[in-house]
Amino acid sequence: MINKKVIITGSFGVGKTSLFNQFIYKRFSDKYLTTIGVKVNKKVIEVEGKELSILLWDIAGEVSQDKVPNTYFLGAKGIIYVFDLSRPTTYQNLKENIEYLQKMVKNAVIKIVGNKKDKLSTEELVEVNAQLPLPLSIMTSAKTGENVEELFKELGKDLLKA
Amino acid sequence: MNDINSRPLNVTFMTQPSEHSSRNQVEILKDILLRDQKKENGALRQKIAELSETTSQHKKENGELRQKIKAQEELITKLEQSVGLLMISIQDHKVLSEKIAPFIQEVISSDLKKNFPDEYRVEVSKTIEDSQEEIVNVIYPKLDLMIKKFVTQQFQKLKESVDERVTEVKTNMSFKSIVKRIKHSMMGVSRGDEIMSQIDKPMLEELFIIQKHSGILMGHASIKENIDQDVIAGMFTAIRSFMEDAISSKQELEMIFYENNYILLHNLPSYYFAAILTGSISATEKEILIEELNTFAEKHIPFHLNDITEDSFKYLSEKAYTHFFAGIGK
Repeated sequence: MINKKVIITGSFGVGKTSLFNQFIYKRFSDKYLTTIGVKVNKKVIEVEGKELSILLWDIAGEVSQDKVPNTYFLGAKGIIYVFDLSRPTTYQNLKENIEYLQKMVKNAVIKIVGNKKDKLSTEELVEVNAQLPLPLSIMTSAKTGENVEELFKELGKDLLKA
Repeated sequence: MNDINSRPLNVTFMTQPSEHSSRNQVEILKDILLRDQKKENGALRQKIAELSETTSQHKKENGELRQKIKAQEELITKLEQSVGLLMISIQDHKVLSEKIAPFIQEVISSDLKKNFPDEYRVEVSKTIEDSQEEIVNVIYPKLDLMIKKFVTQQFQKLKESVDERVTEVKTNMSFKSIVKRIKHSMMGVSRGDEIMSQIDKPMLEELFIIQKHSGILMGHASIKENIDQDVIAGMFTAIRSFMEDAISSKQELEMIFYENNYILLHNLPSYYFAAILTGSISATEKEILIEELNTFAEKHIPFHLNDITEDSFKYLSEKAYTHFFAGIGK
C-alpha cells in the first residue's frame, strides 16, 4: 500500500468539508475544524490495481499566508483546491492562490475543483469556465456526489505517477 | 214607486233655518261624515303612542346592550393581555419554572407523597432493579474517569512532595539509607521515584511512529486493537503543527495531557514517536522511556526511510511490539 498526504483547501463555504465527507465516511466530529482548523481522515482507494492510502487533511478557512499554519502544507503530495462555481469571489484570486500553494508545496499534484455544479445550468457552467484564469481539473457536486469519486481517482492516478 | 211617493216629506228643511241651527246641522253632518275618520285617527294615535313607547324601550335596551358589549370588549382586552403575559411566561423557561416550581413542590410534598399509587412505586422500584446494569454502565465510566484522574493527580502531588521531603532529610539519613540512596543515584532513580514507582507505575499503552510533516503512520504497536491509528497519527501531527505554529517557536511539542493519559512526543529529524501512557510519570521515568525510544530508533529505523510501504510498516510495528510490549500480551 502506498501512503500519501493530500490537503483540501479553498475559500470559506465552498464545500470542502462536504466533499471530504462525501469521499470519506464521517468518523470524527467537525469540532476539530473549528478548534485547530484542520480535520484529518483516511481512505484507501484502488488505482490501476494498486492500493493507495490517502490521508486527507481538510483545512478550514481561506488560503492565505497568514491564516493557515504553513506546517499544515508540509509533506503533502497532493492538493485539492476547491472553489464555488456559483460565487465568483471564490475564484477571483484563483491564480494567486495556486501560485502560493505551488510555492508552499513543491512538486505536489494540484487539482482545481469547481464545486456546487448542481447550482448552475450548462450554459452558466460554460460561461464560468471561460472566465477562469487557469484550467479547471473537474466540476463536482458534493450535494449530489457527482464526480467526487472521479476526482479522487484522477488524483490517485496522478499521485502514483508523481 | 208608489210607496216612496206616498211618504211625507221633511218640510223643516224647506223652511228658512236660523244661523244657529244651521251650524248645529253642519256639526251634526260633520259628526256623521267624520265619525269613522275620527275613530281611525284615535286608533292611529294609540298605535303611535305604543310605537313610541316600544322605541323608547328598544333605545333603553340598546343602551344596555352597548354597555354589555363594551364590558365584554374590555374583558377580551384584559384576557388578551393575560394570554400575552402567559405566553411570555411559557416561552421564558426561567419565569415559567419560577411560577410553576412552588406548585410542583406543593404537589410533590403533599399530594404525590400521600397519594403515590403503590403499583407505581412497585413498578419504579422494579424498573430500577432491572436496569441496574444499564445505570451502572452509564455512571461507571464517568465515575471511573473522575476517580482515576483524581488519584493520578494526587499521586503526582504525592510524588513531588516525597521528592521534596527526600531532599530535605538528606543530611539526617542513616549510613544504610545513604548507601541505598547512593545506589539509586548511580542507577539514575530518585528516592521519590523509587517509592512511587511501586504504587503508581506508568504504563505504555500505545506507540505510534509517525512521519514528521505528512503525519503518515510508519509503525504502530499497542496492547489493544485500534482501528483509527492512521487518523490518530494524522491528528497528532495536525495538533503538533498547530501548536508549533501558534507559539511561533522552534521548540517542538513534547507532551499532551488528555484526561488520564499522557501522550509523550519524542521528536527525531524526519519522524517522531507518540507514546500513550497512563499512570504517573516522573522526569526520570520520562528520560528512561526516551532513551528506550532512541535505542529502538537506532536499531530498527533506517535513517533513509522516506517511502513508507506495507512491508516497512509491518516490520516497524512488529519490532516495536517486541521491544515495548512483549510479555504484556495483546
